[in-house]
Amino acid sequence: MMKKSRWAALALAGILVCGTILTGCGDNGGNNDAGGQNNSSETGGAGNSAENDGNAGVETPDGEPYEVVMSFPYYGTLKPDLQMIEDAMNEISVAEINVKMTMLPLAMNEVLTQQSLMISSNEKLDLMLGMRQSGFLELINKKMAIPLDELFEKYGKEIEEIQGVSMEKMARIRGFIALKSACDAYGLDYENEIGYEEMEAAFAKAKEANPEGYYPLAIAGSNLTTFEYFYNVDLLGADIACGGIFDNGHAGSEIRNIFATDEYMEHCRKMHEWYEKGYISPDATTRSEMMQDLIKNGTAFIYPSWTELDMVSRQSRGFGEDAVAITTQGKSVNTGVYQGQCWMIPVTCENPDAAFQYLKLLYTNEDMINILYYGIEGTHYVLTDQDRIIQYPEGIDGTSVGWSNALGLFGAIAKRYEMVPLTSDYFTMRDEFNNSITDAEKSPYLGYAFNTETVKTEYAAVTDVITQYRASLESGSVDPEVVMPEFLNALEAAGINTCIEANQKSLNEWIEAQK
Amino acid sequence: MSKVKVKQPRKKIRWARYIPIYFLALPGMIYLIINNYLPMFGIVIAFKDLDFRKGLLKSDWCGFENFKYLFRSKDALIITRNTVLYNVVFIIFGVILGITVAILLNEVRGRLKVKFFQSVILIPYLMSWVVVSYLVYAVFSAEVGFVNNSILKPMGSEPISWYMEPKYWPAILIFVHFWKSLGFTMVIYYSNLIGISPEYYEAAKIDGATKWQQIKSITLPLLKPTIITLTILNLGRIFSSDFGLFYQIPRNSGVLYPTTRTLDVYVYNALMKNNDFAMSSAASVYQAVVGFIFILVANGIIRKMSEENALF
Repeated sequence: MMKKSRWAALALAGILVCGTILTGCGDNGGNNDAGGQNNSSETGGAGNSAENDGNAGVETPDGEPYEVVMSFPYYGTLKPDLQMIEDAMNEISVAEINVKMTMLPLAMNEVLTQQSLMISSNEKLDLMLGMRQSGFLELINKKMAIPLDELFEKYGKEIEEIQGVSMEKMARIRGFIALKSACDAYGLDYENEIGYEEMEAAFAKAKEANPEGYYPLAIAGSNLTTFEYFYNVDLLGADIACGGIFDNGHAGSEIRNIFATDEYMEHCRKMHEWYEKGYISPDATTRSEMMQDLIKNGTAFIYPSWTELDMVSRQSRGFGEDAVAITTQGKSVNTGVYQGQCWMIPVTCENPDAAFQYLKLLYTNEDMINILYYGIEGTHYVLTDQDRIIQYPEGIDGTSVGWSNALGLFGAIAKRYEMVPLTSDYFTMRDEFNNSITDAEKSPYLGYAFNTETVKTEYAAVTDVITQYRASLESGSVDPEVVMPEFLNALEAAGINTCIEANQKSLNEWIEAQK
Repeated sequence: MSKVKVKQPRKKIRWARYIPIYFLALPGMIYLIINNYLPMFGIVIAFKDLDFRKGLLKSDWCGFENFKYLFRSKDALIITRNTVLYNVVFIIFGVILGITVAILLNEVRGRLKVKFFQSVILIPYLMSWVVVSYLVYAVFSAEVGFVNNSILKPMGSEPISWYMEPKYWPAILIFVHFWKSLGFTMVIYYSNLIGISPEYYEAAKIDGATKWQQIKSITLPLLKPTIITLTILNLGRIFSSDFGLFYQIPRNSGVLYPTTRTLDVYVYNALMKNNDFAMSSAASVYQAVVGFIFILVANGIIRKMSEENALF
């Protein structure tokens, strides 16, 4: 148990995590401004505290800057100005803490494997990222990361001030994003929370207007899911293979087999009905297009998504016309927010102290974070007349710009500029949103994450069963009356109950330890 | 006794005589050791509770713990059945179709024509599975597929959701496999065929043998060693499957699993979420061991039947 709680503590150090743009500011705008204006004095403060620790920056035997190798996941093609970014950031970091950084670009889908391989072959890597829900756990399960408790104690206070408090306010809203024009035409309400009936009515009208080759609800892929966009399920930092909790855990800490719930059965019945009526494409589980592309093609108008402020404006840009958020449930802060993207220090790192100090700089220095996100002012972006809102320079757009950080990772998002079409209002709206989150919307188990290593045999088998049945059930492609009993049997045979029991036991222990 | 005494010096001379030849083989052997034997050391991972802090060798042993998930699935039997049966079909029909096409091609006269047919048959082999999977999808997609729209619709039949109906897939997969791989198998047999001296056939013709008699009594017996070698090698992979074929072509449609899922696909799906090195090497070790046993048994049977054709 000792071991487990240490990892749970690491999950807390996942406060360093930044998952979404809504990660938001510190406590309030004021805090934020202070950070911006007093940038120099703040870093001075950092220097002082470092001196108090008897450790000004990072000392190396020859006085040369210590080199930190940091993973940089990218999506699509790598932008050409990597070296320029590195140099600009190193100029700051060498002066501040005597550390220079080498970026290690890793294609998004290879991040996990590459990092694991580097650690196992003892290649130099000082800062790595656990990404997505399972990514974070995998690295810990495989014992590839060191616990950060001590380092966090020593250097993390400032990060906590900027980022930590707001993490609990990182609410997400599950729902759907739809074309505004279509919602107006088919009478879909985007002002209020809605449910199955309202959507069904709009789908019927949409189908009537476009009988051939039009399937209003865009879902696609052999891993598609729909249930979680209607219900708030907290997976407790693991996968649905280890069960989940409804209603953010306020109704009790009992972990349930989500697939065996009445809600799930009802949902699959509804999906099957929609599928039969042609609201969902018969090829849903086999097609490989992005859901957004199905909408751009004009064969659908709504798709399941997170629907926070910036998601909608980003999608509007993508669609080339106005998009709106359809909400099915209120906002919620799940345990998963701590596991979106976590900075970790690999077991093979020579100087974790230096790596952590660099991390701290990424979170406290406004210039560092904006260089990493947007590049160099004047070359990759220009300031607009609105405060902290930027845009591409004349003649450059998203494809031709020499630098981008498409995955939106790294550092203090609170200190980051935002791109047009967002306006300065966004910062206020974001603060309002963050401050509006009530305790009821927060999971009481924030910081808990289930370590699946203890049940890895069952976990693997259950994962496989889920891959086999889930997409076809949740896309309505199969009749749940026939398939559901089969699915539940297979899950039990594979050992889902063992997984859930282990998760429950570890959660109970965690709750006990929090008291 | 005296016999032994005579033999000993002779053996020494033999060794000495062959040393230059072994020397020639040295680069190849070194390559084999580095490339094929050193990595085998990785087998230990399958029996370890891998801990990167302790390193590979110092991690704790965990017995067969990593193998358990392979048999955990309710469908373990179906998965094994699929893997083995598909391979059996591929081996048997691979031989028959490969030789048939090779003989047909051998009968084609005219260099240009031979080159043309050879290329046409070989091209699918050079395509990636992902490309092939889209071709198959274009044919069988429920919404826009060729079969549903251009064949079933004009005939007035109901469209079929191909990716939801497991019963069609053994036929589809077998067809796609041969469509893609036939070119390569054929080339191996064909290269053997053109090596057969035309004198045999001329003599047979003079004696009045028909085409069929020529094939039966000259071609097939001369191809026998190749057939046996290829079959034994294929038997060694009987527990493995072409991941591209079984994963990409059915587009990982869960409904099709009863007829499309093989061991490799199961391992991929099971470990996709937890990325476990030890468990994936366990799967490879399992496949390799079963394959090795199959090779030994097959070779043993052949050695009993006709010793000169056995591999070892």
